[in-house]
Amino acid sequence: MTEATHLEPHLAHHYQSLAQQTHAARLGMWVFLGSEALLFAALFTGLTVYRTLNGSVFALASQHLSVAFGTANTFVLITSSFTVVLSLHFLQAGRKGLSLFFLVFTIALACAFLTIKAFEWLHDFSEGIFPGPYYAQKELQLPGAAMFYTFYYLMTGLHGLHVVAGMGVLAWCTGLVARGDCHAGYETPLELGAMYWHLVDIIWIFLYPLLYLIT
Amino acid sequence: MRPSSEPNSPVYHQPNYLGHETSVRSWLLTHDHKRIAIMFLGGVLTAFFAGGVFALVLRIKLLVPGKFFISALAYNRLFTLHGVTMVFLFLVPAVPSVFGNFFLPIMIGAQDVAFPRLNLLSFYLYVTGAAIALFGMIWNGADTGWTFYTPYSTTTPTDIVPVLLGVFLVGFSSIVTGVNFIVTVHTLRAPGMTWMRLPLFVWGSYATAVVQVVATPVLGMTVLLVAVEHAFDFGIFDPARGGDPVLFEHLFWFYSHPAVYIMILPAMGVISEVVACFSRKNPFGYEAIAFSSLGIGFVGFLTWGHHLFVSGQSTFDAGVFGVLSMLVAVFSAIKVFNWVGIMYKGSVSFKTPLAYVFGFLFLFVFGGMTGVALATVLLDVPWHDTYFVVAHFHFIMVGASLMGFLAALHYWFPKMFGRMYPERFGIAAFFLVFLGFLVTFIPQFLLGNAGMPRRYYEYPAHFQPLHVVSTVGSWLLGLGFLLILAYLVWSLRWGEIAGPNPWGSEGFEWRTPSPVGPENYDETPVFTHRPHAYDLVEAAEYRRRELGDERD
Amino acid sequence: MESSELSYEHHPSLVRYVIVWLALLVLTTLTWRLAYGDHGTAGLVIGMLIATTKATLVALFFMHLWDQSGVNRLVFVVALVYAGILMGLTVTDVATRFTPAVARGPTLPVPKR
Repeated sequence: MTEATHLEPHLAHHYQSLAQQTHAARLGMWVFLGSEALLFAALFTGLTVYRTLNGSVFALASQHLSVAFGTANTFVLITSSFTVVLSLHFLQAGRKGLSLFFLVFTIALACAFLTIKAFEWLHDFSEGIFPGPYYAQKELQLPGAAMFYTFYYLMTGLHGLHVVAGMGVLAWCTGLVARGDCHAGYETPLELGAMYWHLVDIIWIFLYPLLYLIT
Repeated sequence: MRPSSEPNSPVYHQPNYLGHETSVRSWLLTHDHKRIAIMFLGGVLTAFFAGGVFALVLRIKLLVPGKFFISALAYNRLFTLHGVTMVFLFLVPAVPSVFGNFFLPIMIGAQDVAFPRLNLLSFYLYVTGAAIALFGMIWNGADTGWTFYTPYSTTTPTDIVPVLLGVFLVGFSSIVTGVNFIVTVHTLRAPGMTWMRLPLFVWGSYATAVVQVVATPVLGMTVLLVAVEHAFDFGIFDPARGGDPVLFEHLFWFYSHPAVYIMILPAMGVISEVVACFSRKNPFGYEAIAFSSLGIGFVGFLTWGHHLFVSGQSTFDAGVFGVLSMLVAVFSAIKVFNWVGIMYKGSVSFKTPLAYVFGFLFLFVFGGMTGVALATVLLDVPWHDTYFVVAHFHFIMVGASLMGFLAALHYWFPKMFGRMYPERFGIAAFFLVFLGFLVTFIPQFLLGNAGMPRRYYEYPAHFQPLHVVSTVGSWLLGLGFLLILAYLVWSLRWGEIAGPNPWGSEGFEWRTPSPVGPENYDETPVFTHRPHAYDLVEAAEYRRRELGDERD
Repeated sequence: MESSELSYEHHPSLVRYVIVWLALLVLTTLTWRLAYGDHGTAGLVIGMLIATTKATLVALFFMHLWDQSGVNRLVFVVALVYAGILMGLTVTDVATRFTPAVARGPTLPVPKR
């Protein structure tokens, strides 16, 4: 066991082989992501309950959100998922430069997502769309409207926090790849970081129709 | 005593995980699952004794129907403090984080859990969360009860946010432990340790881990929503503004009902181990016990609505939840019958751990049957929020879960610390705790049946006799726990040296020296059969030769 | 350690990633177009089906579930099942309440975008 540790610098002492360790790391990440999914499931449940109770008011409130911003962000986030997977692909192929390029590109797309989000929120604020008791939109003064926007801010806000956390993870991965601590043959850190980023994407995939496209 | 050249002669193994490094730093920054388990043991025992003291103070107040001893607000805050401490800081982490952490890797022949650093993080999350929650409670603590029901929790003038934050962090700690256990069981089993050879304690811990990972994030989100609501008043759960307080109850109980299985499943795993060891019998119905753990882990998620029968939940949903709740009894009964089956025609020796198993079986069946009664919608309506419910869940959570914890503590004490506890005191303390428990909680069933609501500061005078009996019972309980603490602390230093296998157990963890060495095993073990295989010829010969066991 | 739990290391080709990406873009466009018709409940169902398809594509190919061992796939399915239980049984309550515990919002005609 100790011999193996000398041969393979990334192998922790309680694993027999790197394959076993990689399998454990992946499974651990999957279980953690499953847990994250349930965290959001609580909010999705709340949204669905109030949508059931408020029906058409939620649809009307949804129409005051900017579909353009939401759709643009969906394209941005899906493309960022694509670029981070490209980064992993090129790392596996031993092309460190390209891998780094796509990692940085992914982080740039994340920044773009947050920027669009910020403009969207500013646009909403300007129309008086605030959560809860601060809601002040003139055109839509119906019971249930404020609740829709409360959930809109809670869910996009929590998702936004996950985007920021994901950017942190990807930045850390960039450092590892740049220093050569994560390389062809040992891609686990980047693979896990990318998985986290994909989860952020998946959650948005569900948020997008549920918030922006209610009819 | 045999001469020390005999293989199982009682020696205090050196070097062991306790003594091979002694600096404070080597403890606080350790990645060793055994040391983390010991630190968790310190944490949960502190929480347990704090929670116990709160309960004793509550019971003293309830000696008298009117104002007495503490103010009404202090009473409200104390029962909240008691509930939060016992549920989140003791019962949830008690068996998984202490005994699961210590024995799960050893039982499957691993050197450590899959992610040792995360394991340490889990401990510090627990400590931080516990500190924030307790500090917040003592500062200007919540008076909502541990269930944080809206809309009261979102409007209470007391400070609830620190408590919620503390619960969130402790929940995160629980998730990390769960992730660790799942991955450890999947990836770190030693050669020959197939799924159908896993010790039943590992099956129980595995099912618990799944529940922890799935349910806890929902609790996390729920307490965050309450905190946001309390701080910003968004109206998420405010019925005056279209909010639905019942939604809170749904989200809360989606965690907190399965949380009962987080408390009980690992305890059931302990029972399976202890029963087989002290009956000298192979686990009868091994597959049934293993799969019923997973069954409880799944069905446990389909029952939460039985907490909402009088909350405005739809009658349709109430009926569905009532029926689904009863499914849990099926899986629980499978376990109970199999445990009894293990003892049948076994060579039963009545040692302290087994005494707690008997305590578990009695209290669990009693608590479980009243649970089935409570899951019946029509019966629940008059019983709801009375002492009947309090007595019922104390039978399960204190009775069963705590009995499992104490069984584990006594069964594995020699393995963890290399010394024996005094058996006579062990049995005496068991009877004290068991009788104290019955004297405390049987009157509460009667009180609830007579209509005494829970969480009330004052009560009509005719309830007083039963309350006095209950309070006296709580003193017996307290005395019992103090006795256990005293002789266990005494045993740490002066207990008889245990040797590697004082019980002659065929559980795999007993193949290691006592206390366990720093690396668990000198070389990776290979497993050829299930644990507790007392029918194997080699096993019987080994016990006759090494332990002088003539019973087979 | 059973060998079946060890995942098979295999690096998929670039082409597969590009195809999945294009599929995701097409599906997003479809969802977006969905908002501009009056489909009622069907719109919600179709929208959710598309979202689930997209999430599954991401999980299978970007997160490599397609190539990984069964247990990881099991985690994905189990998470979905439990989220479904939470949402299903809670929404069942709200949808079947005889007397609404909270006032329902008014039912109004929703104009097309």
